[in-house]
Amino acid sequence: MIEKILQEKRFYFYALTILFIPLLLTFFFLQQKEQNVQLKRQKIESIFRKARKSHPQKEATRLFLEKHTGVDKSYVEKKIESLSFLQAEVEKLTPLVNHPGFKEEDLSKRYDFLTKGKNLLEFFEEQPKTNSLCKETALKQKKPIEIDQKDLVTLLDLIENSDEKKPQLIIRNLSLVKREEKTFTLKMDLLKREFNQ
Amino acid sequence: MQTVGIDIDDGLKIALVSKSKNRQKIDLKEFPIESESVKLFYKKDTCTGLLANEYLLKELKIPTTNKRALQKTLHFQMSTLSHLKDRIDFPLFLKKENNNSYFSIFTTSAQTLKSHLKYLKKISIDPDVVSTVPSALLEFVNSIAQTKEGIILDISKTKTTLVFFKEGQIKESFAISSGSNDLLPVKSSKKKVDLLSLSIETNRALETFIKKLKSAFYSLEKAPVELFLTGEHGAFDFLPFLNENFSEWISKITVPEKGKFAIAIGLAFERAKPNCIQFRQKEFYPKKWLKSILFKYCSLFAFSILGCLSLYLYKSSLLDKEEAHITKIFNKEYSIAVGESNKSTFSQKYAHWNKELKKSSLPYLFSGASVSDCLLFLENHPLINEIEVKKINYKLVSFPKIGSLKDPYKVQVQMEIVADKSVARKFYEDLSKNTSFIDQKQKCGWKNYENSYQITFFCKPSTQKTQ
Repeated sequence: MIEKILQEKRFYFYALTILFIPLLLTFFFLQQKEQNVQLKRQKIESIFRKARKSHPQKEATRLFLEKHTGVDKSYVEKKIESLSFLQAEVEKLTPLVNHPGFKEEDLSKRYDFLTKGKNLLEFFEEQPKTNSLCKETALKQKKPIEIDQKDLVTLLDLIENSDEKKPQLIIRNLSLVKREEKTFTLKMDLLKREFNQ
Repeated sequence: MQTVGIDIDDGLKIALVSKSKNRQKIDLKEFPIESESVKLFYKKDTCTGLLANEYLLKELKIPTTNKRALQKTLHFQMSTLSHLKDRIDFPLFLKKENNNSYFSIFTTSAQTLKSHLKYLKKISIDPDVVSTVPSALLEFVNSIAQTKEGIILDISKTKTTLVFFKEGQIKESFAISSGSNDLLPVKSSKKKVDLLSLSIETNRALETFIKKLKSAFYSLEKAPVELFLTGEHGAFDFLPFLNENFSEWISKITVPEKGKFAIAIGLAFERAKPNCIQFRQKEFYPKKWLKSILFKYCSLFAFSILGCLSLYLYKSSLLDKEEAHITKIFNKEYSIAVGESNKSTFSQKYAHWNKELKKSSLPYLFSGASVSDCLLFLENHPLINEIEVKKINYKLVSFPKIGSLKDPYKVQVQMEIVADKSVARKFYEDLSKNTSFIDQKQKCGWKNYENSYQITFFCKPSTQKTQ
């Protein structure tokens, strides 16, 4: 039986093939191992890249959270809604309106509009949304107000550029319509985010 | 290289031929058949021979010299030479001439070979090669003389072989199953006995032997050639007898030295030849060779496994070192970036670090263009003094919010201006081409009104997160 098998030419083909099996297996396992090492190397390189990239981001996040946590919750009411606008015009009108001979009704009405709380920035809050990190509230301006360029700068500084600790305020919509020389009608909506400690 | 030729007579005649580069050594031994010391030779490369009456010899001419064509036709051609069932053929290539190939075909039956091997097995011999006695005798004569044509007469104790060769090839061969032992019971006599002096009637065996020998000679061509007398002649002197009776065939009689071992030596030489006659084919393939092939194969396989294992271990250790090195760097960076943690494996640490990195990118950080940015951009535009801005609408069209934190910050600005059409158009085109502040992925809008123009554009996200 064995003799017959050994006489077969096919036997030598199979025998040779079998001889190569250990070599093939070795290459297979080595390739697998090499692939694993390469994969690990790639993972490490990728996480190092991410870490390098995230370093400034991490710092920015830290500063951001530092700025917007533990803030005065009534910042909008105290700092923004309390603002008086068009002060230059008020200053011009005040001596005129206080003069005993002053009879101009239009100017008197205008003065009252500017000084008696009718041109104040007021918001109403929509239902807030919360998650583990923050509380998000949409603030909608109740009615348009009149401002001048100086007021706009002050307002934007308080909302967007202030360095003091405050809730994150983002302007969602802002409409600025020119009324007269250097006077605008302003209407805006804000997004307020208060972060947890 | 050592080869052993075994001639089975009433005892075993053994020739051990050792060949090195320029030296050839022949050791000759004779043992009784049952002798244990014979076994010393069995493990060597042994060769025995079939007698001339145990095989057929035919010549074959194939009209091609192409190797492939020969391989294809030879098997078929051989099958036409004999009608023996279970025959074993051995084609011996002779020459190529005039686009023809010539072969000597040695054919024996499986039964004959089986009997031969069975007998040898009884006396514990398993030969590597089974060749023929006539070819062995020719090999022996070739080793001592340059003659291309002649007769070999080997008279051993139990058998006699007559070979006629021409052009260095066997033409005819005969076997007579009686030898010097069968002729006369005078074996012990020290004096040579002239065959001619004996009366034929006195010995029936001698009579038969002479008849057979004569019949063999008469079938040969009557052209006087040299006769080589080999074998073991016992007490008989064959020379006068041969000269008297076969002078028509014999020109000269040579009695070679070591002629007693002619068959054994010839078989040993035959074994050393690369194209020696071999009847041990198919099921008769030598078991020793099978074992040897298996042993060599297993050794090769084991060597291959060992080699592969060494290669694997070596390369694997290099990869392990490399892996250890990168893991060390990773661990160092990990401890710097994340600090001490209870994570022990690479994958745990990797997942943990990734999680930490994801935490560090907070989507709430404002990365859009703020109102201040937009106004500053417009204020710095060179055409701003030539146009009158009637209205500006700033709208955050998309931003991350609870429920959809992945939405990006995206700002749309819509402005209504009053200006000369050419100035307004230029202002619009400038904005359309601006790549530093305007998002070119979104098209800038343009609308004509009665006294004014509306321009819409999207701002690029800010690279520096400001709020």
